[in-house]
Amino acid sequence: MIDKNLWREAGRDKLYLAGIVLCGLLSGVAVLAQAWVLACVVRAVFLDGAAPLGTRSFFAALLALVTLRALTGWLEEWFALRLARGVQFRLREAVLAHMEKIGPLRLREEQTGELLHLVTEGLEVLHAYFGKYLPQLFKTGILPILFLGVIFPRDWTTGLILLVTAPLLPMFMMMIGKWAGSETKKRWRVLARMTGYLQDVLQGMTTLKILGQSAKQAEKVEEISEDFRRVSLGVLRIAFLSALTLELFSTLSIAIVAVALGLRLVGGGIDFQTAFFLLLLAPEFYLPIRSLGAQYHASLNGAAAAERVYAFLRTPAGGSTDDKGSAAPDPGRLKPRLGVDAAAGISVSFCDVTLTYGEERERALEGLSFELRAGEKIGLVGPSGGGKSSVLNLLLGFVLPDSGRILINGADMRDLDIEAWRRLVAWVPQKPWVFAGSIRDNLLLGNTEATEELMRQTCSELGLAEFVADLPDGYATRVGQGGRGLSGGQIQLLAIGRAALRRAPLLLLDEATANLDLAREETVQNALWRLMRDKTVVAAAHRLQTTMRMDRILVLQRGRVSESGAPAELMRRDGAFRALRQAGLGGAGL
Amino acid sequence: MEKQLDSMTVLRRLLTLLRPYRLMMIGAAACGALTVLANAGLLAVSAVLISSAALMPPLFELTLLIVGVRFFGVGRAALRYAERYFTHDVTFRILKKIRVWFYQAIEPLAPANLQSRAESALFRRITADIETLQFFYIRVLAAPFIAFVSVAACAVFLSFFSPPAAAFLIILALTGGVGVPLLARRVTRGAAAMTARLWDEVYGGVTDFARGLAELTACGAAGAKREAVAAALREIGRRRNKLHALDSLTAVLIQFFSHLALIAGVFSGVGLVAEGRMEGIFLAMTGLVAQAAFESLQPMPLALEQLDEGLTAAERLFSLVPDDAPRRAEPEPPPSPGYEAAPAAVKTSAPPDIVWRQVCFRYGKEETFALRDFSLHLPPGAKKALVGSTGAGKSTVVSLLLRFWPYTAGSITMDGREITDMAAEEARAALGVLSQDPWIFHATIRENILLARPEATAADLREACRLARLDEFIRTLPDGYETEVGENGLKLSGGQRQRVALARVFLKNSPVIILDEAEQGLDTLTGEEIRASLRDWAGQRTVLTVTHNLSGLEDMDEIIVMDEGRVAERGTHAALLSQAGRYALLRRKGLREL
Repeated sequence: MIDKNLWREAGRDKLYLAGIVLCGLLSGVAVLAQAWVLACVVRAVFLDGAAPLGTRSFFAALLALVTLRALTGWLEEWFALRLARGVQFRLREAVLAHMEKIGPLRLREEQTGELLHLVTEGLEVLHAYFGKYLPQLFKTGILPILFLGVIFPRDWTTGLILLVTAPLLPMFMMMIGKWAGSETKKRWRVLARMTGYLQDVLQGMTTLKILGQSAKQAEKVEEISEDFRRVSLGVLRIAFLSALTLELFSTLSIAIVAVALGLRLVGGGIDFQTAFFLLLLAPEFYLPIRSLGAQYHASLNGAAAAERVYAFLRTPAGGSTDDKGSAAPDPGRLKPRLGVDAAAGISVSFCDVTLTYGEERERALEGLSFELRAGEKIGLVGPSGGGKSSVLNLLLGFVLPDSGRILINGADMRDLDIEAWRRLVAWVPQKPWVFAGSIRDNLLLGNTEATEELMRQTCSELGLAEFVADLPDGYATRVGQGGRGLSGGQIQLLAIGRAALRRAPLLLLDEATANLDLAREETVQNALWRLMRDKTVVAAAHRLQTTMRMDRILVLQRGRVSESGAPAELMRRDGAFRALRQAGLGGAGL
Repeated sequence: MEKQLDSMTVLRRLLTLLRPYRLMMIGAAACGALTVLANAGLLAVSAVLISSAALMPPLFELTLLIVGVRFFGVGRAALRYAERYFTHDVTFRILKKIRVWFYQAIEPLAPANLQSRAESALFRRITADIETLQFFYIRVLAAPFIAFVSVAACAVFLSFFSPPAAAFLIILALTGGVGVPLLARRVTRGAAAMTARLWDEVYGGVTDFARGLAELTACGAAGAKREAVAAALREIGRRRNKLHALDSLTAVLIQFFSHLALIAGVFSGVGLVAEGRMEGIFLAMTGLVAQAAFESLQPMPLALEQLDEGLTAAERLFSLVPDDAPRRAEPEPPPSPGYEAAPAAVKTSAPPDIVWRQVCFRYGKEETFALRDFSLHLPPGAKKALVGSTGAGKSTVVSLLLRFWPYTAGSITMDGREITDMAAEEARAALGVLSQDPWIFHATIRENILLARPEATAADLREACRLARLDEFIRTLPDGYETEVGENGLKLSGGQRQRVALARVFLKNSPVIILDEAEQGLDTLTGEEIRASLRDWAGQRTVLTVTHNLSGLEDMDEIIVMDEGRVAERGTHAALLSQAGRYALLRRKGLREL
């Protein structure tokens, strides 16, 4: 009936909940009063022959009552919407916070598109859930009982008719709902395929044209749409039975009540005013149940959205070191986190580090050990999956090692204040993300405190000034999300500038495998050299040119160092590096 | 004023599209109106029954009323069912109609005017728009019709008993059922458009946060960005909430008016009864009928809202297909003698002699030329390669040959005939294209491959799959060729998808093969295998390889290096190396991937 998680969430706003219940109750009382006054008026005029003037006060009362109904009706929805808003805000923020908490690596495993939809428009369904379904649910619980309490003492026959039919309504609806549900499920695959058919054909139009089939496809579109109509109607024929029973039960019950009342009136078993009062109440009695039926979908959608949110919130934060917010602090971590003294540069040492990403996944690193002196530049090479990105992910604090230690200037990285540590790290990712905004915003992401002057100076030092000057509005040029409007090379340059602005002593570089921007190849390479100057560098290198400039090369295979040494030395040696280089000869890229 | 006119035109075109179903629509709406009226009837007869019974007449005088009560009770349920059923039937018919119409209209124009707006977002938009339009009847057209018929019928009925009650009903229906929703729409219209814009921004922010989380975390900016996104979400949440509150206010007001109708109905009857102009047994009835009519007015706010949405959706679709008589990007010349009805079925003939001469092209008048004075000769059996970085114009060369776009200047001929003088399908019949991102349809493997030649035999199909080295994989599948591959073949790996596309090329068996970045996104091994399959099979066929990968071009008859829409240099591998130009530089410089 109600989703447990959502109910708990709603329970935080008890005042609104109470308001909803109170309004529902008040509106029920108003309904009773309105029916009673109306019955009085009609009796007075019809049977007692009252003069029109004498009925004025009744009409005044009626006007007041319907106004009260409108007011409570609106207030109720207002409370409900407030409730919805609160829950929505909290859930959205919880999802965002959890995204940050699980970190970029875990997040990449999620279906980001769906998650993004969920956090934005996906949770809009809560408006219907709390705004419409929940108040209706309360009313269904309260009003029929209230009405029966009034009806029974006056006429138990009517009361009985209503009491017996009321539970049948939801029962039949549920039965039919289940039946229709299983029918839909049986045809689900067919329906799903047909629903997406047109989009499929439109997206494949080029392919169809190349194959000379596009014109003929119109008939197919018609045929599939016709099938879709027939199959869907087959399902709906059953689904609509629930609407049929709903109507049938409520209207027939009203009819039975009316006839029963009429017959007893003739026999003098009941007075007119009571009978008319009961007749007016009969439709009102069924109204909450019928409205609840109409909101059934809102309840399903809301519960489904909530389920997806809670499923995401349950995903463990895993190895991210950003789990300061997690509930149970590791006792070993209660000691104050250390800062790093970077005055003499940064030295890094990996001691027997192993790393596994998921539970069932293969080991990414198998006891990796190496040392990196301050100011040294090492290049990581090796096949994909060899462990290059894992080293960078560890140093960025995106993931924690399963075992082994990473020492930064002699201190275990686990003991470091991760925020402070990251301030010492600049990173050029393989596929940099460009944020919607200006070039300036994108550059300053690396260092929000940098002045305009520092930014311009840094860019000209790296040779980026020219690239910026080429853009229509220079630093103020707006760029689209993900770098729409920029070439691959321009995006690289942006990421290099961003990293440079961090003025950090350790540079992590994940080189692009293929740069499709021939015109900017030179600029990118030069900017990279300049960026590397005076820094400790760990580079996952893909290009020969880059590797040859490193002080030392580590060849990573299956999570271990299989060979290391100066590049020139490795070239002479007939080992893994040379084999890799030779294999790579085939793939010269423009 | 201009805008008004516009939406009128859109509405007219839309109604023309729906015209064939007008009788069905009227029938379904009539069921809807009768459902409302049956309820009015039920309440009216019940009220009269009880009122009459209060006068304690002989029982038989009530028989007709009792029958009436039961009739309306059952009738309402049956009518509701019929309304639902017929409404959906006609909705699906409309869907079919719009889909076929749109497909037929867009097909001759595609991909030119679809590509220019780019990306799959467009296709989602189109399908969503068509879905919106399929509900145009049920949500927009039906509601006012049903409301009008129901209110009018109730008013006419009431006028026989109490003309003032009828007048009250009409006035209240116009104020509550038409006035209130119109007023609400005026208030919300601007706000709704504003929120839609805000949504786009917020969605962008959330996307940036999620997809750029690595950068944000590394730069220590994740928390700040999250706060900003959350604040924007709160802001839009507040606005949305206000809109919802207004919606519910509208609904509450309509209900308020329905109660007023009830009171007014009885109120106006009081005087009539006192003066003896109406029998007392009808007093209760006049109020109940007036109120029952309001049931039909409840969907009016939604109908107005959907009217806007429907028109916007229609406008977008109509703007993709500008006129009712579509302007064809492929004007069809009279079929030439050599052109057969089913072009894909032509047996491999000798490859045509294909020549590009001084071809110039740009995608739009404002844009720079994508191709300038491009010339290339592909004699029968030639093996040539077109290389260059992204945006150099390589793919444009192929698109023009495929007649996806009309070229601005120059000429492209096949065996001496200008391709614009040929039927587009005739030109394409000679070409087998393996592109970078072939579309795999949400269908079975068999259906996907047979698209290349629907009348091919099972043996042909198997042979094509064998050549594409797909047969082993298919054998491992429980459903074999009948395996559903999912949307855009998502259940297949990149290599398998490319092999399905390759099998299409083999099955189509065209004399000219074009490999348009066919290895892009594949690992080296798969790419090499695909290349090998083709090399063995190509034989005397003409092969044009389009690539940004400089390896494996040693055996080409000619390599054309393109840059910014022009030919930068051309020649054999050996000649280009000795020229020490761009090609040589790039090969030597060793921009090689490790």
